[in-house]
Amino acid sequence: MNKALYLKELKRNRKNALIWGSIVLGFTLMILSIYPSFAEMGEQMALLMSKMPQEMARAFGIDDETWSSIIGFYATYYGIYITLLMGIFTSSTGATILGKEERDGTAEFLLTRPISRASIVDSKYAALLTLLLLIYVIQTLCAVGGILAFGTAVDWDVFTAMHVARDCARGFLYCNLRIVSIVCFSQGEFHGPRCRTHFRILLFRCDI
Amino acid sequence: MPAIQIKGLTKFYGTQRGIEDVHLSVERGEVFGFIGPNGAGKSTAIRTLLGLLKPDAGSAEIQGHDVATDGVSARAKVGYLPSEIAYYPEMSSRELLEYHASLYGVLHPERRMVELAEYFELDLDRPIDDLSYGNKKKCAIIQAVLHEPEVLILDEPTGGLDPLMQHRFFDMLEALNAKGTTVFFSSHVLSEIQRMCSRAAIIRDGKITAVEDIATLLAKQMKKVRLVVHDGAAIVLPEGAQNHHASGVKHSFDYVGSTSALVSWLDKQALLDVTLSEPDLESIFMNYYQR
Repeated sequence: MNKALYLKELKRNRKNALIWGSIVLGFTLMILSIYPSFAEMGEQMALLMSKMPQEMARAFGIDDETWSSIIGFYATYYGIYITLLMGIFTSSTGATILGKEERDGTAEFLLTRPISRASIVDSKYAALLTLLLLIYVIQTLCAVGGILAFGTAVDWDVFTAMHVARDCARGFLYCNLRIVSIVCFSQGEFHGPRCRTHFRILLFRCDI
Repeated sequence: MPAIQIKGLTKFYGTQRGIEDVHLSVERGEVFGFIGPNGAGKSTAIRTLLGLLKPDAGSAEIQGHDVATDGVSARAKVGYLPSEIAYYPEMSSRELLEYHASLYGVLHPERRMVELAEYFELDLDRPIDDLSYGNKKKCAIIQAVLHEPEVLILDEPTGGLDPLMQHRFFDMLEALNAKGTTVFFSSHVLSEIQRMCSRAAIIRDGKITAVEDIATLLAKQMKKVRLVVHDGAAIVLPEGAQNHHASGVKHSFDYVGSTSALVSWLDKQALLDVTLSEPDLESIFMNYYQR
């Protein structure tokens, strides 16, 4: 890991992170702010939705919980859209963070500096991870704020379980990590024995 | 311990030859030329030194650090000027040079960077994408020397530079060399090598064919002689002349031998005009092998 390279990568990708971060935050606040109007017709919605084919409802992550509480409502959208948006950020940034160096020929600049290939990959990986975690933390805080503002009688245990326990066990963070590691470590010029070992360890930890 | 030590270095691209069994030793504080026609393997050798390519056989050391097993320490000693420049197009020269310096642990390159930019007349704040080829080259030159490396590896450094800038560039190399910097310099222009180097290696078809002092190289060097004589004057060619062509009063031939002998021979001719020129590299090599 090289500090100078890590800092440079944070700086080079901050604009991308800012754009996707804003989209994620905007979406979070939007869905939370429309919950009150749904809550008013909660029972009607539940009735309406129960007429939908079960499979279809499940595909959209809709269940009884969706209409009965703000957490349930949030969970429905969180599970699909927010995870997806952050997945797009991670995979698009991850795909270019090394690939762009190769395409623009700047890989030669980087590889002729006194840094090892493994360290280049590590530093870039760490920078992407930092940005991802940053967006994740801010999104979580934002969701807490939105739930406090728009919800009543909130069951925080469910929220914590979703954002911390589930995410960290198998949910979106790992899903994103998996994308990061796949795109980062499958890029030609930077292949080295150590990178491949990392790749394998990560795949193992992600249960692929 | 030599600054650069190459032992039996071999690199093939599949079955394509890159370099084969190259042995070289560049002493500390030396300016060493590396000369050969295009495609002879100059860049392959240099790219292997910088760890961009893995050698198939043999080894190389820079300041005692093996380039394959301890490449990071080896590269930390080196300033490298690539023959083809690919920099981050969105950065300005200033950003690139600061980034470059930070990767060598040089935290305050500002003063030296501005000095060098003034010396080479480079606008540091323009995006690299907008720079002409010559200006990109200037940025690359500053980049190679900014962190005050012990060894400079220059791959065809003068391409794209105008004569004034070439002159300043060579002055700078001389000043750096006087302070003890080792310079390893590849080129296909013999006069550049003559001007700068004390010794030179000739590479051809991936193999080193000779390592010579520049004086020896010069003695073996061929000149192209073109002369115009008075009408009817007879010509007896000097010793060492070959490929003689005559049409009327115009004569041309290739000459190999002592320059002063040529000058005294010319003095005896009924000359109207004379041109001495450096033949292209290929004919120097042809001549070199014939002997």
